[in-house]
Amino acid sequence: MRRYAFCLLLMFAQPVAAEAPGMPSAGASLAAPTGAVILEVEGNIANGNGGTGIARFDEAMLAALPSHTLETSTVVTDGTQVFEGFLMRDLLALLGARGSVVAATALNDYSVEIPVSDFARFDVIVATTRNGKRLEKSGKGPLWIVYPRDDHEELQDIRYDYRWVWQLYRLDIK
Amino acid sequence: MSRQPRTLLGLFLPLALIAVFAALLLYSLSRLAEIEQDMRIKATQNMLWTMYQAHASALQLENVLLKADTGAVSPAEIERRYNVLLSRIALLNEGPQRRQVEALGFADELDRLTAAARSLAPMIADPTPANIQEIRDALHPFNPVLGRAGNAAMISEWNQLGNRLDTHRKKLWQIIWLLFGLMAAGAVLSAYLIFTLRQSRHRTSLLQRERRFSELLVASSGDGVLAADADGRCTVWNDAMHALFDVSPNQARGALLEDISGFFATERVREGLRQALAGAPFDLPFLPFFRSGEELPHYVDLRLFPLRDRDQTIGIIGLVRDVTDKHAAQEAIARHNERLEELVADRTQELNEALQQQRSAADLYRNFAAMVSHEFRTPLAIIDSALQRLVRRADRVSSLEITERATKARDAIRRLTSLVATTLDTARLDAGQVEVTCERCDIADLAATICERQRETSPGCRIQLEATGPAPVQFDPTHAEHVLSNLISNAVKYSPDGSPISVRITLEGDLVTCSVRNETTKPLTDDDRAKLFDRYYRGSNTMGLPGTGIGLYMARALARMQNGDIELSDQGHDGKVEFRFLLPRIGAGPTTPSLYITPVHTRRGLPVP
Repeated sequence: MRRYAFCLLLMFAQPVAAEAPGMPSAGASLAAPTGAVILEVEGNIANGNGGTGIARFDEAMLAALPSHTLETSTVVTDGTQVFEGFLMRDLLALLGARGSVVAATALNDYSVEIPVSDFARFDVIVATTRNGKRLEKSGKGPLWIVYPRDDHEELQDIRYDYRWVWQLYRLDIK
Repeated sequence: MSRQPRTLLGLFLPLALIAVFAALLLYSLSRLAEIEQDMRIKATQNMLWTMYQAHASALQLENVLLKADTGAVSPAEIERRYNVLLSRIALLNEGPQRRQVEALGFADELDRLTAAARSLAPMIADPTPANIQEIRDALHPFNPVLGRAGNAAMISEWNQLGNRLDTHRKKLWQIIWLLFGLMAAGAVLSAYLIFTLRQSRHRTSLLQRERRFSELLVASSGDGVLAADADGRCTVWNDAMHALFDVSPNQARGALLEDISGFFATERVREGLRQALAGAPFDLPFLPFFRSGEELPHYVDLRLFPLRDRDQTIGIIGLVRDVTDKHAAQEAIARHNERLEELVADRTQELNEALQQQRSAADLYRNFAAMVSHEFRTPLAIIDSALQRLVRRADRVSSLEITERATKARDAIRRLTSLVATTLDTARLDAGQVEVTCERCDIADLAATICERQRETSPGCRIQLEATGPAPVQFDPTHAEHVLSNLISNAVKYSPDGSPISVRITLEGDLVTCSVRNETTKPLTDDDRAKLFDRYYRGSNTMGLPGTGIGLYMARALARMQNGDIELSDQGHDGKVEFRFLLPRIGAGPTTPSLYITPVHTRRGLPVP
């Protein structure tokens, strides 16, 4: 958590040097979405694009984040699946988010609070594709929070399993 | 119980207990591990929640559609709710969830609901009131089916949970019993440990007591006690050793014996140590041992014994006893014995001499008695017969005959007188009353005078005197004359009538010899030769001849008093006898030596052997 905060401080001090490839500059306000909004972030964030503490993302904006691939089994499917998407911590860094808990809400209003430390300890991604196919809104899409379950034994636990929010559409930084 | 089974029990009981303990523990652990594995809850077992979510999403879509009639809901919201429903249906159709649904017996109904839900898509995209009504009609079966499925899921999950709890409870009870078993085994093991600990303490205290006693025994021993390991390093060194070698036990322990004292480096002790280490006891009595700063040696008895452990010699035990006093006593006894032996030898010799003297005396008296009985009786018989004749023929005896008889009687008397005088001479000699006065004279002159006189006395004899020249000698003329007269008269007496008698004077080396040789009819026997110079001894050839047996004895005694001697020549077996009168020649040496080592007058009373 402290290390994460230190990273943020670095980004504010040297906005240009710290910027990731293809990532909008931190400190500058986020560009407005041009397509359909698929993710809303609210709460304690520094960079927004829809009023105080609000950031809205369309598909293109999320696709601009550094891509990350993860292969793991899940509790609701058979066999291992290959997920691709972006790291949750990259998103939070992009937004200059400050908080200890992220409340993730799904389309069906399922909501769960995830400690921010999870994102520092594990490579938790927000997946947009599964096995090379886009996640459908009528399935687990468009966004699915995926933990690297097979890489860490402690993640093979129902107390982590409930954090795998699919049909994700809103994050609330607290 | 005999010792062997007790030992076996003592060995196997704890091992068996430990084995039981380990087996129970392993079994309990495996049971616990099984429970631990079983404790993980899988999300697929959460079918009740999945069913509820699907049911709720169908109801919410219906609810949204009801509001849609009034136009209060946007088409996007309808689509969102529809997508949520599709997502839930898709979830139910995915691997693990699908299998659960099949197990619950709702597979066909799920397939129908899935098909129904997918068929709604065109109408959702175009939410006209007619379409909405159609969708609502299509959604009708969702409510009862998902409700019953949820109900079945609940019952199934609770049954599963109940079964799992039953299994867990059974396993836990097993573990509880196993733990009781563990406790029992542990209790027996602990009891056994306490028992053996007490026994061990008891044995240790006994051992310590015995050890203290042994140490006391070793320490208070008056003899030196030492022990060494196989390398010759000292392990035990008691106070007596300290006193003897002046090395304290602390200094001695751990040191090589050879370094402790040079005594242990001596060849005999090293050999003893080697023997003892080879397994043979070794005794070294009376070893001399020099303590530092002392000149006289101590003496010690060293007894070495091998220290054995089963079949192996692991060191030696040595007992050292200071036997200096004993050694001194033994030496004193040895010296005393030696002195006693010398004393006994001396006494024996003295006794032998006394016995010899006694025998000689007895011989002397026997010889004297024989001589007297013979020599005195003969003249007395002559006198008696002469007088008897005169008495018997008193009336017709002539003066001539009287003269003849009287002369015979007087001769006999003279012989008797001579006998008495000779006996007296001997007595004087024995009493040391004979004096010797030596002066320088010529023995040749003396011999000539005596030969002449002998020729006058015995006109028939043939005496030849041979002398190479004057032979001056230091002697007593009276005694020398006695000696030579005796030898020459003996020669005349014991030689056949008319046979030649040779008197010869020679100078040989340091000696002047006057030898008298005569022929004889009866050669001397060996016995005669041995005893010829004894007093009162008369040779085997003297039968019928008068004599006292004193002449040669006196002659030799007198010759020796003048530092001379008389010897019987070895030649005598060819019918000749030769006596030699030896006198030391003047000027032969710085002093005139005595030919006879002990002069007669210093050995008075002792007969010459």
